Amino acid sequence: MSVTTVTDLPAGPAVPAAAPALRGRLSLPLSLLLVAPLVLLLAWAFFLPIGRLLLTSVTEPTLTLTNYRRLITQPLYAEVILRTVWISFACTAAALLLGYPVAALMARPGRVVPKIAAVCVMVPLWTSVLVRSYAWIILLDRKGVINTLLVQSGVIAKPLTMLYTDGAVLMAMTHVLLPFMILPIYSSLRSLPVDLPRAAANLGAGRVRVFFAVTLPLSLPGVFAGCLLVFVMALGFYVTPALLGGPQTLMIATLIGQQATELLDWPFAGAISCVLLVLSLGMVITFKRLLRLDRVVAHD
Amino acid sequence: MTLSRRTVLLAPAFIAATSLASAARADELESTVVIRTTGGVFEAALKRDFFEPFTKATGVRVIPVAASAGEMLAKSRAMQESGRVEWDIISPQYDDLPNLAPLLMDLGDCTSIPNISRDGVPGTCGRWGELYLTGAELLAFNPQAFPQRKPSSWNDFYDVEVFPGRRALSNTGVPWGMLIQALCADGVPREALFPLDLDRAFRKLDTIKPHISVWWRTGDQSQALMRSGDVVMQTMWLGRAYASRRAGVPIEWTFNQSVADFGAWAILKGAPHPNAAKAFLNFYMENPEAHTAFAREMGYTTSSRDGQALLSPEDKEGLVATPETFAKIIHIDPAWLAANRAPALERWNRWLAA
Amino acid sequence: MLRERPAAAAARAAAATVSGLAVGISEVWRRYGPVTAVAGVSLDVAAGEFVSLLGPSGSGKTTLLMMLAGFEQPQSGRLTVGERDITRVAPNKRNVAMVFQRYALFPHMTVAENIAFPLRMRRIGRAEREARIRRALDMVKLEAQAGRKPAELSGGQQQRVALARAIVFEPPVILMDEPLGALDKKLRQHMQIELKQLQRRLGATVIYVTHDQEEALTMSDRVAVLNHGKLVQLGPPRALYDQPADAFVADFIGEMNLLPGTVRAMTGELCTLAVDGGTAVGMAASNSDGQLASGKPARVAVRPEHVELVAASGAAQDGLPGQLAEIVFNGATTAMLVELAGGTMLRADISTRSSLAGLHPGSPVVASWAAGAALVFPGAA
Ligand SMILES: Nc1ncnc2c1ncn2[C@@H]1O[C@H](COP(=O)(O)OP(=O)(O)OP(=O)(O)O)[C@@H](O)[C@H]1O
Ligand SMILES: [Mg+2]
Repeated sequence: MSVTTVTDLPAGPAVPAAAPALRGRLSLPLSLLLVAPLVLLLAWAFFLPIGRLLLTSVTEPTLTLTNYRRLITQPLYAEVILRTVWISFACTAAALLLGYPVAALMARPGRVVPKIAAVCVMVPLWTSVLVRSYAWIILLDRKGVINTLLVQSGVIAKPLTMLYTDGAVLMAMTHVLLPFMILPIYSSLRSLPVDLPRAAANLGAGRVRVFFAVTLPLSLPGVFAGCLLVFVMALGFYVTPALLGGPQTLMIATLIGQQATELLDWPFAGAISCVLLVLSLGMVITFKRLLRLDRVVAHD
Repeated sequence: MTLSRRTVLLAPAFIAATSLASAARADELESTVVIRTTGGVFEAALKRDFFEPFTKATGVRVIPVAASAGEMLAKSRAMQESGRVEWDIISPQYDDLPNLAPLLMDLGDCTSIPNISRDGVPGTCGRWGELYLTGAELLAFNPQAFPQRKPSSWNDFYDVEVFPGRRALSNTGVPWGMLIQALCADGVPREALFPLDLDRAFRKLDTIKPHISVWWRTGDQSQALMRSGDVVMQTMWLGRAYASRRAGVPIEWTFNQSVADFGAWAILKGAPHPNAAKAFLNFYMENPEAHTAFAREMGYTTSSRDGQALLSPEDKEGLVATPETFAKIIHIDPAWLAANRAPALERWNRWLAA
Repeated sequence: MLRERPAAAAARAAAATVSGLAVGISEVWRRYGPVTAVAGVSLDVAAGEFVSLLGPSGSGKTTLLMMLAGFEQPQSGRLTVGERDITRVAPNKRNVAMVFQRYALFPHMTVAENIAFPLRMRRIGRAEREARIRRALDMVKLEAQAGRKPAELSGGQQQRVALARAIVFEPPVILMDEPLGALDKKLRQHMQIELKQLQRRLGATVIYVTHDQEEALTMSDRVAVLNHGKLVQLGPPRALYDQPADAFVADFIGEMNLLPGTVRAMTGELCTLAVDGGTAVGMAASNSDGQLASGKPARVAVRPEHVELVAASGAAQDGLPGQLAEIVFNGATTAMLVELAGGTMLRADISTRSSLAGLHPGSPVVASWAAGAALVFPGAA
């Protein structure tokens, strides 16, 4: 045998990509045919009415930008949009802080604990937002469960005002949206090979450093997806702020509802909706651009 | 019957043709009539006292459709715009009828609904609708909290020195009553209320805002506040106050400076069953006993003069059932509302959220 | 013949401080519910030694390695590195490097960052760190790829990054779990040699898991054969090949004919058996408790290269009569597959040069071997 140096080696085979089995198997016309029903349904039931609503915002009463001028000149709308963004942001942050550990728990190896955690996450998802919001009312009311317990146990003398505050809305919205944070993070943690954190520990990283150097960065796609979902959904939240909010908790969806149903001013409702839509799309694009979502490597 | 609902749904162009055809037998009743309700116990009482008797008397089946007030208006407008009207009768605010005129069938002086002049209280014929429900938004209080002197006007509500205690106002997106109350409390006589002086109203509201403990969002919640003793006085809908009293909650109210919460039956323009709808409006005023039963159960009196007369003395006093009470109730000027709804609401929203 | 390049010299200089430490495994048990993954394994690895853990799938190799790395806890037993008891030490405090079967490179870091990781964890200063990374990259010939992400490398290159990352912090002990398992055969053979060289240069102690017996034999100083969680045999490759401790090892290591039969006679260590209508001989592998008494079942193990074939002459001949079933040309040797009278298959590897002319499939043959070339194990299959 002669010289053996690594450079002489034949190039190794690239690691086989775990390509989805179906990719590229269906012909284009067939794929189109298969998605056609959904596209048609969405177009007819979703895009068409939304498009018409947005269109009325510039065409009624005549071709005009008055509706948008009103949005800008009336300080109410800027204030409410800012407040909506702020509450959505706080809600996203809270959901992230609360949801990440739960997702991590669910992604742990083992059977019992992750299963229980998964059930706890999924079951609320199957109950309506309305029910969950009312559950919070029962908990937070001045005569509610929490106050009763606190007063009876002597912790506080007078019941606390918890309901109809920003805090209540934040708490309930976080609760309602939490699964949308947990599930993407869980899925990215699940697809993280167990070898990677182990390798990091093996190379000398303690638990904390393993988390920050390996687990967290590699779960970022899930974190971003979760944050995006929660933030965008929070922007348009209606029921929970309406039920649990105080006078301050005026969110943009409430204004849209008011314009559409109380004032019957659909062009203006369309204009506000347009702002909400632009805001949401803007968030999606910014997230994608800034954090280069698709460049955060898929592992394996 | 001549005009099936399906036909109407399928081909708006058909409407013209078929309505021409039906003009030939203009008084013939359709087999059904679609009526918007608020659902729940209210709908149940309406069914028992009016819908079912109507069906028994005429054979016309009533299809109740539950919708919130906002949904009702939004849907009515959407139906009108798309040319596919599916409802016959809606129940908007009586004081708002002139503003909704483009959506509604013009009943003129109601000669086509003869029972109105026979048994209706004055004003039952509202041109675009028939007054059917007489409630009020008023000052309700817990008498036990005021053993010495009971609050009797909105001046008292705004006087936190003489009448201390936790208070509530409403946050339902409908602030007109509270604006009127504020002006009354500030000493504006009722003849001079309209056009509302919003600057003055909000200045007055500013003084009470720090003392408002709860801004209730639903009628249920306003009842819960009284029941738990969480507040000692608040603005409240009569039906809710009456229900609280029937449930044994210590509560009293005053009609002094109260604001009308009157409901009307109105027929949508292009309603699919106009004859049945008119027949229902007429039948509604047919039987006073039904009105008495309804008022006792719901805490809302109705527009039947004879029905009001049959009430107990206590109910006559607690409900909107005497000319004196009628006279106390303040009505919103529809013209002012039409002109100022959006900016006033915008201002209210901002004020509330500030 | 290995010619050292300047780079290799540099690598040796870099590795000068590394010296392997002895690893001790004593009476280690690990059960998962009803499954016993590791059953009382004791194994001492000398400093600088290359020991392979060899065994079929599920024999407990990975579990043993994971316990050494600290990702699994033994239920009883003791693990030591040098003088230090590491049985309960956290993985990150063990200073025992591990190369994972699927490399476990950090996909969000470049090659250089991956290699820097263990150095950062050890708070090695920037200048020193850079120097070491450069030397490690040089050692595995990946200087040009330093800035790439693992996903942009070939399998072999990834493997080398994993290696560089494991050795860059000069660990006294390196654990490898089938590190070449994902490579194709050719690359694998190159890497085997490269790995072995590297280990020698570094002087590190290596415990190497494989289920490829050829790989274990080529690379190891000693091989530990595991079966069902038990250590069945530990020894240098040659000893395993020549003196398998039991029928399992005999079968598992290298090519082996294992023929079931019945003991006919024992003459000292020499055992005569009845096998498939013929007679076979061999040396008793162990007969401590008299299991190889006349009439008992036994198996005779003989390597194909020790089997001799002659054409059947018609006269009575010593050995196992049969029919040549197939002739497989393998290059230097030719494998002759014989179907014995009773149906058992026997393989004989004959030097191609001397390959028996005139024999063709269907020819009647007689197989035999020198008694000293075969081992007899007690018991049926
Ligand atoms: N976490 C676990 N839970 C339950 N059983 C396990 C676990 N890990 C390993 N085992 C079992 O322990 C036994 C030994 O497994 P191990 O992974 O050590 O085998 P191995 O020798 O590495 O096999 P392979 O060559 O297939 O990698 C197997 O029966 C396996 O099923
Ligand atoms: Mg394994």
